Amino acid sequence: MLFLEYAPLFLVFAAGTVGALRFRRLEPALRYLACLVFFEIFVEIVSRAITPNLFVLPADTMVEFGFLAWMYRRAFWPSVLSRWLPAVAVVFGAASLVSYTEPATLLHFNTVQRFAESLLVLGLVLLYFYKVIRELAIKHLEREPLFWVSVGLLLYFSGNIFIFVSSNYVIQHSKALSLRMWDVHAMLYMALNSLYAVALWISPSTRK
Amino acid sequence: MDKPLDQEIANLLFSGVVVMLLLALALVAFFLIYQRKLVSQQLALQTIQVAYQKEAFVAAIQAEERERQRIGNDLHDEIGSSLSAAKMLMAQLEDSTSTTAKEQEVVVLVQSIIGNSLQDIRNISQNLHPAVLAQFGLSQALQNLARVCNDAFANGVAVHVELNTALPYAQELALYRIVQELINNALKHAQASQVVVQLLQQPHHLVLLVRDDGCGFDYARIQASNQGGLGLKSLVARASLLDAALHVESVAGQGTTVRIDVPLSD
Repeated sequence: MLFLEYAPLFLVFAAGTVGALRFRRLEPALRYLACLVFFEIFVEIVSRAITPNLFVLPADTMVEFGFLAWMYRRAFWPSVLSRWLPAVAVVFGAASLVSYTEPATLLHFNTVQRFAESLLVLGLVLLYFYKVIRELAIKHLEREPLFWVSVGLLLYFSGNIFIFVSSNYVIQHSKALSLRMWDVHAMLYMALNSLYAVALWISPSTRK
Repeated sequence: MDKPLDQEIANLLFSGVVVMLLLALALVAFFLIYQRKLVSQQLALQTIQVAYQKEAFVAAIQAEERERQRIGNDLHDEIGSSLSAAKMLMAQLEDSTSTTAKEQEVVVLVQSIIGNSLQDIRNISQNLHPAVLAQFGLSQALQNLARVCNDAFANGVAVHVELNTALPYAQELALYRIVQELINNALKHAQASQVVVQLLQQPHHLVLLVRDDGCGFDYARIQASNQGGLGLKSLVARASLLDAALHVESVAGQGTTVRIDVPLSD
């Protein structure tokens, strides 16, 4: 479907534009998010220019988790978790780089890495919700950028977790089903980037 | 690959995605509702606490005022009367022909001491319980306060009152105490040479302005560090009792202006 081929790209660019326009006024945690969006634009361009593009995936996943971990580290500061998050990100990054030592694995979708990332990000999102409930420091959640980011990540990773796990299996059985499956992924990716744009748009001066 | 298996995998996969998305949406909805409920409970609790604190403070102020009134009356009526009687007796002794010149000197001295003590008692009594306020209202009470404090400042205390309506006594007393406290601060801490008090009536509120030319202070820093003395805390508390907005403008070396906006009940 042509729409699902270009609409996600448009939304990543939209989120990137918002991030670039508001970068100076963003909180440090959201600057990591803006950097993640800029990186995703770069990945989109590279992966459309070079095919097959599965070799980008381990690096993309590693950098994505790195930026998200650093963003949540800021939000959780100064809890114990925020001190352990860099170690988790480093271990995840090291494990991701292992993919590049075996070129054969780069020809397939790295299901383990994406599944692990999904679980880790969902864990961070749930911990963020728990923190918000426990501290009750935020009166208007709709004005809290990290809430929108967390909702986007929760929807994206919980919806995609089956797709990530089954992608290699499905493509072996049916290419048509695999394409339909990635259409669902494209829709969730659009939702995620729309919510990234909302989070980057919310003004820090009016949100508390 | 056979079609039924393909369909089965597709159904399984897409229903899994849909179930996960529904679970995620349900979690977000639960989180939003639960968070809103907790925030509203927290707000309700805070409102109750603020109301309770205000009530407790009103009770404390009322008790303090009653006690001040009692002590003021006792001082004026009991000790004041006794000293007046003593002064009269001293006057009789002064008029007596049997006293020697040396004794006359002592009597005059004692009369002067008693006279000063009587004046001190009147001042203390007036400070404790402003009878002028109860009898003649806020305008006269502020003018009287300015007269009493005038000599303490090199350039005196100026009072300007434009008040068309009578205020409830509790409100008048609170405003009087605020001015009293600010004049006291200007004298004790600011080493001011002049204090200007203005009470102006606006359509829906009263504006009380008290300005001094003293040394000033860093109000923002004191507020941030929560180091304000009892006077400043009492000022904030009395303003909150009046539901008034308190603005303090003070720059080190350039004096202090305190503005209090009191809403008028219709």
